[in-house]
Amino acid sequence: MTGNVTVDGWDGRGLPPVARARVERAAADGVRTSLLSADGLAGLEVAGFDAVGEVLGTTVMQIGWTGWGGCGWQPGWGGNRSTFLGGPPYQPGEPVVVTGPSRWSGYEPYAKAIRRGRDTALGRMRQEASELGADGVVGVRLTEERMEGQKHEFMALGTAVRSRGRQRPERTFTTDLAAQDLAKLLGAGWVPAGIIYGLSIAVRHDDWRTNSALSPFAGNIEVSGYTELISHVRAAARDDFARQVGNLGADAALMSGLQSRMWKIEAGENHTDHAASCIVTGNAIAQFKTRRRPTPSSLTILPLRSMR
Amino acid sequence: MTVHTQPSGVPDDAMRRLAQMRPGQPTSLFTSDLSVNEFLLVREAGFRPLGLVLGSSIYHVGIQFGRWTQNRELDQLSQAMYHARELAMTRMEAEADALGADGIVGVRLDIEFKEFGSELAEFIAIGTAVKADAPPDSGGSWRNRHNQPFTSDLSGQDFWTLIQAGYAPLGMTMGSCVYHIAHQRFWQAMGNIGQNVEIPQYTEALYDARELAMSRMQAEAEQLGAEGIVGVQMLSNTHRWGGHTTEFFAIGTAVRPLRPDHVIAKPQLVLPLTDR
Repeated sequence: MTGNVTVDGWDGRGLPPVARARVERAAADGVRTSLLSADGLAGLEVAGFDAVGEVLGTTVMQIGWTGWGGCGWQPGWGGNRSTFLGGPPYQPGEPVVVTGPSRWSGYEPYAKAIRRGRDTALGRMRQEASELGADGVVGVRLTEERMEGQKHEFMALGTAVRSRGRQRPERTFTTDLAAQDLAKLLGAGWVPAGIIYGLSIAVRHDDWRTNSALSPFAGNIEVSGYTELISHVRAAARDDFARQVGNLGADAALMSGLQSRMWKIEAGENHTDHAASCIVTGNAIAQFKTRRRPTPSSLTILPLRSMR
Repeated sequence: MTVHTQPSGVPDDAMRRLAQMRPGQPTSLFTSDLSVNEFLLVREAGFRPLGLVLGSSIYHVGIQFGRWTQNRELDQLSQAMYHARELAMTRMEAEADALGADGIVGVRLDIEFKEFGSELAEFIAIGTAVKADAPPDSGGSWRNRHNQPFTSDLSGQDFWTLIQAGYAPLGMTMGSCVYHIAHQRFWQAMGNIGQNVEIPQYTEALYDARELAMSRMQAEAEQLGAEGIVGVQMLSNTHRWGGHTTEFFAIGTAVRPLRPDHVIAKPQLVLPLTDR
């Protein structure tokens, strides 16, 4: 972003001028907007929060496939081994995880760009919220949309809320849970701490083990090379996810989405490799002691409603 | 009415916790893919989530051709579909076992055919490993008779209800049957034009295939010593094999009784103010 200045004189730091104007207007006139449903508003009431306003963070990033060096490595060289469940020591033939610091960081710029896009969108949304005096943002929708070319738009949209009490959190919390869910969690002694995600990308060199399993005459056989690749990527993304929970100082996480993808790369003449990526999104939650309210217990009900 | 609404309060305790959060504090960290409702109900049922567990297998499903005019099971394909799912499930169970879990709830079993290879499919099993706060009242363990964590594809809500009613899940049971349904012979097809008639070989083929899938599922439940299977789904999917080859897949959760009576508290009747 260095050196790029828009016609409005915005250099990419802080909030864009229109967002700043909107925040200032909202802070001044006292009109409260929200993206909540009627149920959501009732949930917010139970939780002890007031809606402050809808908040948005967005960024468009150009993501090129920089850093990719073609077919240059064999499986099992370098890379970071996932420590999930304390796995066995490194075996030859394993995929190379290329996110994180490693000798084979071919996709690291790509992963970095995605992280930066998500973090910028969430950060701008949080900044709007804190300037409105909010304590948190609920019902966040975090989307990534591919535009023409190599441009990706990252957007975070949610409703800023403020506690009715005197205690303020140190940092504005974010959650993609609905306000109803926030009420239930708080009632049970858990508070959302922030939206987190774990990301991992890896490449595996196709070799005789994958190729032989792909022959039309191979019959029913597991393609163990690909299974390793995708398992590895998922384990690394989950490790990263769990690390984010710890980094926040939270106690647990409720996963809300797991997307994985695998694709073919033409690495050289008559040779292909396979790459896989995985992104795990969810909410970090923290447990607290509460003297005020007992944990609500569930009540079995039978709705008197016709099935139409 | 005996329903009390929660008094709306001030979430100071919660906000204080957020203010005190420090990176890297030692915590009893767990992750799960349960929704908030499921998470709270699983806790109320007396189980603690330990972590998200998953197993996966990318599988090359071989080709098998059936005779054009014959109703028959394509046993090669049946085996492939079963074996690959079994691999994914076993790996998921191994992760849960390593975490010291009593069971896995909310299991989802998905198949995704890959774009880069016409016979390649990924089979994935994903769920949340849980540990019980206490052994069952009837004694023994929550694990199944093979000393493996139980598995269940029931939602957290259904899991809670099942435990309330005095049942425990034993394991997910499944049966698969890939069946080739015969094409009609030319004269037969001509003869049926414009008529409303049953086509017996179609009916029979669908009967046979479903029956095979269901009996395989049942055999698995018998092996686990189950009293019954709940939440059975009977799925049929042609995947990528064209119109006449279909996989019939039966899946459900085998259960065992925890106590002789299975009475739950009488539910409160409510009149919702919404249509849905």
